[in-house]
Amino acid sequence: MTDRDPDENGWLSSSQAWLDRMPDTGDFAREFILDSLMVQRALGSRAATMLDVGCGEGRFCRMMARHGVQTTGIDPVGPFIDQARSRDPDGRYLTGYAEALPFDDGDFELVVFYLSLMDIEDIHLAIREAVRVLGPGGTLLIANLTSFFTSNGTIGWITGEDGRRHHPLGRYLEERADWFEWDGVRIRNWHRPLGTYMSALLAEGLRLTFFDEPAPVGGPTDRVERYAETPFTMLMEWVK
Amino acid sequence: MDEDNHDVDPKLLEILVCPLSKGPLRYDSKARELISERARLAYPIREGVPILLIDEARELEDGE
Repeated sequence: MTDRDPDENGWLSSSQAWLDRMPDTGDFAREFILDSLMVQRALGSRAATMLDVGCGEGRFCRMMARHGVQTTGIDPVGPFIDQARSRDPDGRYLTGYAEALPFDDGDFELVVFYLSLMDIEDIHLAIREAVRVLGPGGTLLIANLTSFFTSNGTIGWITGEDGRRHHPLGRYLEERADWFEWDGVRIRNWHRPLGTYMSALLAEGLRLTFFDEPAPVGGPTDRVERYAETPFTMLMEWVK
Repeated sequence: MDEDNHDVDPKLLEILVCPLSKGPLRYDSKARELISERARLAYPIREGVPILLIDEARELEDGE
């Protein structure tokens, strides 16, 4: 037994506020930056089975299920799993931690962390577990906030001497978790330098087969402009 | 209560193992628990959702 606080990063107490603000199409970053590329890479892997680690209310599982992929979603936040099941009664969803996956070795052809690694407490364990449940030649697909972006922490936007808005780096090399609050959501996100993620993935013997820092595709112009001002998300594909 | 909606997907049960020991889980349909003999833990199933959190598991008693 452990003494893990089920609300360690605020997601449990923020779950209803998150569900209220998240449309089925996803928020801007999901709908206009990541979704199309994530689906394209996931389908390109030709995987028939997918595990979504930190699946939340199951949006990406539902998207991939529509493409005929057998999806399983796992998340430690019970209300998200309840929501996932009510939106997709035939889908497979369960409550559990990324650091202790309840699956056999080699059960999946594709494992996904879609904007969840920055919420996960121990990424070394989580990545080791993801690789364990992947079959040989399996694909690990990751979308995450860029380390440039997360290093900013709670500094936010500042106005430079040039009179323009900037989103400066914070203490980039310092791994840390900060609390963020917006629209009734109060959660803790990790900042880790890119090197921390790369080292953890390389340590598991994975091979990088795709990397991108995608720009928005479509969407409202003012939002596109805002996201164009700073690198926001990155996408990585690794093969076992 | 809609019992069907609260049944756990048998195909999901087939692929689940104990998150602690990685050993097999036995479904106790009466108690609605997943039993890990190796870890001596019983994981609850609530409204058809397996809760595979070690902190939420019940420790098995002797002879159980």
